Amino acid sequence: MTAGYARRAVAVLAAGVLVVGVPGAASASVPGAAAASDPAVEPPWAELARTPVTPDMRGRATLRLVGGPLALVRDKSVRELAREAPGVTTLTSDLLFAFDSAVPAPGAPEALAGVAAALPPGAAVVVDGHTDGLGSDAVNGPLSQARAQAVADALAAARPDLVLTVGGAGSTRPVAEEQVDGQDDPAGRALNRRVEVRVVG
Amino acid sequence: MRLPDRRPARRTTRPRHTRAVLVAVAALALTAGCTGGADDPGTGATPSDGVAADAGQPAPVDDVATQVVAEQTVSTPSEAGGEVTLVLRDVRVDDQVLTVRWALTWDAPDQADDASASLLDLGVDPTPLVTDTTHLQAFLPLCVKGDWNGAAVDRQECRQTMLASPRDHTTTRLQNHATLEGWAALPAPETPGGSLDVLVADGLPAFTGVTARQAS
Repeated sequence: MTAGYARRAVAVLAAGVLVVGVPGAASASVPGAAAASDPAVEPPWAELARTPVTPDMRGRATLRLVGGPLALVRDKSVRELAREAPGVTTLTSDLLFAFDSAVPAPGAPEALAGVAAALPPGAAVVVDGHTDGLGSDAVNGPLSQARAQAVADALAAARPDLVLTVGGAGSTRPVAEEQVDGQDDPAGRALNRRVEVRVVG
Repeated sequence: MRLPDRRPARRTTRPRHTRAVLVAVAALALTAGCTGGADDPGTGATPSDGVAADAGQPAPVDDVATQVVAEQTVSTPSEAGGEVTLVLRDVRVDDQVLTVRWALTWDAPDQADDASASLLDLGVDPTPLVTDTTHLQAFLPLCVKGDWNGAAVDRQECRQTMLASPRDHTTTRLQNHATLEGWAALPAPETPGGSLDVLVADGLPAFTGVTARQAS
């Protein structure tokens, strides 16, 4: 969603958020209203109960997620299968594989064929798997290797001319911190779960 | 909808007995067209605020406040004890925004009914993640500042300004047997109809095979 794209559309948070659901709030003749004449005895909710919710109030209390004053950018909240940098394509493992698995997801071969198509003819390509920092090296090493091998197999199937080298680094080469200010950061861990496809020659 | 009995992330420091249980899948689930939606004049209760008459149309009605699309109960992912029950209430697309609504209940029979714990104490840090396994895209909550794909400081900003509730797991407290209602607004998938995995918080079981209902 570009900023312009965002501005064109308007979506209101589900269920018309912040609609005040006070029974009988629309009418001044609700139970308890009689006590309103004597503030000393009325319950704390009485003023709210006799206050009608107007369209203006509803409008001011409704958060418009796009098209409003908030600078929301779709791209910052979307994680794509592949992130491109010069000479290297980083694949998001969470989108290619199930949890703790090196079996490609149903849509993975087609997506990887697209990655393969962009590689130079006869290129020497290194495929490296990486995990996050959870779990032991005994688990992460083989898992990263197996995932890299699965990606390499898909690339080779689509492009038999490629010269592929496969490696598994486990959690030894993170690209993102997994804790921020001492707090666990799942989004950082997710960035570390990846397979890198690097053209080396 | 498939509900896995696996954990969504490996946790070696806080092992627990996962006994994810599929309890219910509501008939009015998340498939498009199954429900009238919040904008359906024939759905839900009568508006109580009188705006409907002024505007000539019914006021919005929260039609999923008690809906249970799916439910899983697992051991509390911390030393707090007991178990937590996670309910998926709704996954809905309005224009370009996908809204996830969920509820969390903590039940610790060996503790007093008025005992309370923060989400941090319970080992739950809600940052909903929706993965479109059909179109191979993942979605995190929209944020006012920051970037989920950026550096640590950018991710932290996004975390602090994301359109979701609750947002602070250190100050949000839950009483024993009480239910916390939560929501998050994420980008809607560009291609509708994909199979979605919904992970409310890392360490809790994911709901898989969900189809978002198209509300607009």
